[in-house]
Amino acid sequence: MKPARLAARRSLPLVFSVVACLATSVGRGAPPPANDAPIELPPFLVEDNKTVRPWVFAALPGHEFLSRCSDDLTVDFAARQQRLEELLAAVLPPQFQFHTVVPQATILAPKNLVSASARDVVMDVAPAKGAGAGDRRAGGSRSDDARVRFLPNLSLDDTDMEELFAIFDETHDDAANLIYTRNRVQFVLRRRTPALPAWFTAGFLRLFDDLEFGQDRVTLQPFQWRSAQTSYELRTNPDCPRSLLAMRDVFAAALGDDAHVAPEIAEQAALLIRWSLQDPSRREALWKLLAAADTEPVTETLVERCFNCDLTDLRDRLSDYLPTAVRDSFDVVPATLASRPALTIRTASPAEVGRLLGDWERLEIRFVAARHPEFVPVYTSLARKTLNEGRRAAPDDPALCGIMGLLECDAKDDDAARVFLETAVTANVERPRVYVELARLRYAKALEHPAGGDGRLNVPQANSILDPLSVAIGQSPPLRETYLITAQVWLRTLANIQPKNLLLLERGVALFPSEPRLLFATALLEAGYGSREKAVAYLRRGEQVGSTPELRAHFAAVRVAIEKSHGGPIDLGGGGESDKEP
Amino acid sequence: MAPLVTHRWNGFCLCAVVLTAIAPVGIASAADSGLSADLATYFQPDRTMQVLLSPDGRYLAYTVREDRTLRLVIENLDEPEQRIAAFVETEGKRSFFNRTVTVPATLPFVQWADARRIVYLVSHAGGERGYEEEVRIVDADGRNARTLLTSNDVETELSAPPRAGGSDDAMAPPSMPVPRRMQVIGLLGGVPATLAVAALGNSRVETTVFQIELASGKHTTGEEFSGVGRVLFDHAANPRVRETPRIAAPPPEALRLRPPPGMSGMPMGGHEGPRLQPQEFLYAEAGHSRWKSLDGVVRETPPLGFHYSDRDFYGARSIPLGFAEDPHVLYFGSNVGRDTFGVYALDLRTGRRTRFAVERAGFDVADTAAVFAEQTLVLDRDFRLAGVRLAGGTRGTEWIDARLADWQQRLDALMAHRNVTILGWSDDRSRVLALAAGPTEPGRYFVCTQGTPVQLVEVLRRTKIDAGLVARAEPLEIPGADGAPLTGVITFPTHPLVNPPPLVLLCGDFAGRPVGFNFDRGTQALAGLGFLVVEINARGGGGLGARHRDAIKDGFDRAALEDLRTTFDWLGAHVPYDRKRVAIVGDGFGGYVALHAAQLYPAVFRCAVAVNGPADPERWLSAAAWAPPGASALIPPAFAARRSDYFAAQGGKFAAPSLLTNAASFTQPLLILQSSSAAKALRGPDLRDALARAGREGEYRVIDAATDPDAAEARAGVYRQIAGFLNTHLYHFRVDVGHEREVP
Repeated sequence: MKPARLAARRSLPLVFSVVACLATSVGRGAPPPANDAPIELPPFLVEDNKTVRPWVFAALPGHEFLSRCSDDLTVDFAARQQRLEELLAAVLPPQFQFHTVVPQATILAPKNLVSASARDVVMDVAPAKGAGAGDRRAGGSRSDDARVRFLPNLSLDDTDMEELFAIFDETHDDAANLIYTRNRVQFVLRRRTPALPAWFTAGFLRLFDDLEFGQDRVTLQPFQWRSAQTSYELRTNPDCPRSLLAMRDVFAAALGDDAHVAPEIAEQAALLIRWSLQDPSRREALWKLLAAADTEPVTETLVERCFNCDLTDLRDRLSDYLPTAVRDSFDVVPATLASRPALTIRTASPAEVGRLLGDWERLEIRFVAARHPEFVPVYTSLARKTLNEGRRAAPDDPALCGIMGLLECDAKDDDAARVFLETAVTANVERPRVYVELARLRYAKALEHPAGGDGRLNVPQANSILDPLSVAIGQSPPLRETYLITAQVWLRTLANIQPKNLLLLERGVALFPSEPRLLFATALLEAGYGSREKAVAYLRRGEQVGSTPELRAHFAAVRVAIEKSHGGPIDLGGGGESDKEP
Repeated sequence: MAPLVTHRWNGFCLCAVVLTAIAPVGIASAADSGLSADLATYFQPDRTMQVLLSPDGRYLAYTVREDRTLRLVIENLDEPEQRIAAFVETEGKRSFFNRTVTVPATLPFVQWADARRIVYLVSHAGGERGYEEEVRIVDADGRNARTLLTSNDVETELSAPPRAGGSDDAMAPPSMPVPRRMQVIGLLGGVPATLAVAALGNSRVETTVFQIELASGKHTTGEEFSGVGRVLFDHAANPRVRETPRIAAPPPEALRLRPPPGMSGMPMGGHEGPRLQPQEFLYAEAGHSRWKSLDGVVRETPPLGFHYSDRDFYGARSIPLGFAEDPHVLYFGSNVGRDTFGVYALDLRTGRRTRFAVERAGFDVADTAAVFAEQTLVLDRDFRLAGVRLAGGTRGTEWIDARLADWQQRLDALMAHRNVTILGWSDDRSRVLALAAGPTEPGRYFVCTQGTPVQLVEVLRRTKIDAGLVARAEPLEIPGADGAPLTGVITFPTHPLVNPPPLVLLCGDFAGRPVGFNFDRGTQALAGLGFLVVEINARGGGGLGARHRDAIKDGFDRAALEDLRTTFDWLGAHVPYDRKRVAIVGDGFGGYVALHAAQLYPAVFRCAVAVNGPADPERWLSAAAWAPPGASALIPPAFAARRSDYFAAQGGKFAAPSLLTNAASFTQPLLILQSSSAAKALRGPDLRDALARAGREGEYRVIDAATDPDAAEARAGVYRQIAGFLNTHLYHFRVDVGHEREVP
């Protein structure tokens, strides 16, 4: 029986902050907090006697739920999440969102699950940090205790998946009124592969503030152009001068980080997206353009093909639309809406608890490592404990093995990781990163004893690395490491690379057009085994996306060498240094 | 002189028809009900005429006409919310014979006097003379508005001719006040802040040049000279070139009437009517008002031909354009010795051309009818020649000023597919004012500021036609039957009702302005109704050189029909359209071609529309064509007379079949639209009757029944008729398509 709700519920923002996923970027995360700053940690679940309700499990296509909240709340949450996805799809079709074969897991916990005792456990096992925990163990100050705060809602992700954790106060929170946060939308945009054009991502995020996700529609509130004052003038005087960029300049902001897109470009891109969303045919035109942008630059021809007008006309149409945009709101209603899901809720098996909760706790380690590394051991212990409990019940569960392997990879214990990963790969687990990590480990091992002579790999060595990658390529999302390792293996193998083989890397470059290492390796392979024109094109792009002047100069030097070769031997100069990876 | 541009098939043409007379009759057929209710939107007139950037680039001044109100607005570009309406005028009423007509106020001249003051001439209806003109000045912030010169200031008196044999003084008629219209010559070169204004006289009254000190407002009279015809001044306000009038004035003894109220006040002719005469250009040296033939000054071989008549209007000749800083160098347009008009310079001291030349092989650089078209020459504030506007092609500018050339290059790149015209610039060239227009855009004004990227601020739109209503248009270039490329424009339907869409092929008038470079309201309206619209520059059209125009000399309609076939062949191979839904629409000569094509190729065309197309070309030409209401039957409009003379000069070769003799051969529905004043010459009613006798389907409608104050609605009404007809016969055709056959 559904309990009567006692008070107006709060709308909760669904979800949450996102941790950068790449290993290289985790270390560059938030700067270490000042000594007196709050210590914000991800949820730390401590089983105590007060916790009587077992974990329950439910699933929807593409989703898994592990919950200790009431069944009503769990169903409300699942239904709302499904509805939010439908609403988001109306303004951002799924093909332009992050997609993975790994179901998105959500852990729902009641507020009391993260108890005060968790703080004690964390502080007890945490290493000394200044006058913090160490002093406390010696009977000193409890100042750090007070500073520790557990984040209530969080989304954490890996290169191939994401997982959510939400803490509910069931007497106040209303899961049926969840809304998306900017971070959530940012995640699905930024993690989409191939990368969306930067102007689109920046524009959509600029537009996000105007979006209201209702029960059956998305409402776009009046747009703000430049400033409140300028918007007011546009509303009251359609002749108000307006400054719009040439669309060529907007679409030129395609590569790189959307955060670096100039504000005026983002704003004009937002206007374009809004204008497109307001009319079904224009909406289709935008999606057509965006889909084409996966494989080709946005040119005059492409714009004409999609919007039936040229770039200059498009700018003018946006200009004429501005007074309407700043004045009117409008709704986007999905063509169809699914009915409330019939969710089967059952007690979760230990393996399911181990897999979902253990994977979450694995992700927490990376979050903690980036912000409060002193707490990594305690979180690592917690994750190992949860995963091992799962394995005790289901020792051959391939998904669990895969997660164990990834945990050990993250912990830099390659030997331990290899055992788990081999097991998971043998069982054909759906987890692209598992295959990539195994390939990485095999590659590292092969490099220790290259059997091809002259420091190169022989064909069996190469194939042992490429085999798991070939499986990863078939799973979503595509991972850049798949292509990077492939390119590196080919560069170091005495095998006859055929131009048709290079099509794979061409796809990789299309998927990750701003990845300089992949551009460089692919360019070298094209120069050696394929098309020098393509090689030059990749190097030119490297000159564009290179993050440092030195890197860009490196790309340029190699390009010039290839161009000067006129089909003959390529003189890279510098004692062969130039062909080294940037 | 009536400009040729009024006589071609498109919005301009119908504008001429409608503005002179006109309201549609018998419009709404049942088929109309499904048409766009916003058709008038396409025909709304330009709301912005003049836009000027101040010399320091800080202020923008522009005129806006909306709701029958004319405003001169000054805007601080750094604080755009500060707009000042320096001048507001609503339209005035004026009596014209027995009618009261509405006359909108106009600002024939607006210019920045300096960085902070703007000077303008306003003309509005009212008063005893029927109009009032004033030269005014105002600060950019709207303060210190003053009137510098009024119509009263420039009025003069004319003594009546003495009675024969002498008479008593007391009985002598009093002198007669004669108003004179103003023509602002401009700011004087070499004289600080002084504006020159000419009070225009005629054969009986002298023209006087007034010089106004802008600081004090004091005015003095300078040069005075007599004679009729338009005058070109140099920048010291010296009258230098004069065009003799096309119509010879009545003899002096005919002068005996004071003009009735409401007329311009010019002396009226008596019993002896006006007559046509050849025109020539006269020249006077600076400071000397003694006129002599300009041809007499020229020492070139072959001669430059600074003279013309209706008969040789389409021949080789030259027309003066204006002066720059050097008063001894006259810029002129000419096609002497070449196929197209170019722009050149003549040193008046030597009588020789200078090395200056702006010419294009494919199109006329100068408008062949634009005498004294000073706007062709782009001068900086010191009267130095900065560039030359190209009348044809994409209407670009050949810049002499290197920094403006650089601006042009950058703006062309930023606004591809637009004809970007730099209208003004700050003295330091850091900021320019540009107009971007084209086949898909009526015109937008941008203030562009240097930077990376260039900052483009859209400050005004020429019309309120929303860009979303505008159909995509692309230039066409097809290999022509005679080897030369056939150009034109293809306009795609905004929302086709069927796929592939029906095709409407437009045929232009003889010597009309070439298509493909400007926003065409009529074409856009048809595309907005779901039609694919194609218009080509068929041989016989103007603006693309004498060879292109004169290609029809071998046969009145042969070349045009051949070009139509070429177009069809090309379209069939390159553009999807519904082969069973093709219509042909033409204006003037193009109207005849449209009807004749429907007669010859019934398998191709489902229906045809002719606007003021002659049914019997021979009769049409011999009738000296149609004239607007009120015009003297003895003096046909210039364009009609020139066309008539042009074809008449071809003699026997110029034989085109009359559509009246074989009306039974028309198997497809026809719509014939004609102005009542032209109907007789065009023989529209005769064709209607012939079709009826033959049992053929033909609708005949008169499109000029009464004066309509709302030109946009009237023009839209004409297009509603065309669209309704096309809608009925292209979307709901029910007759089997016949076979192509020869028609005698």
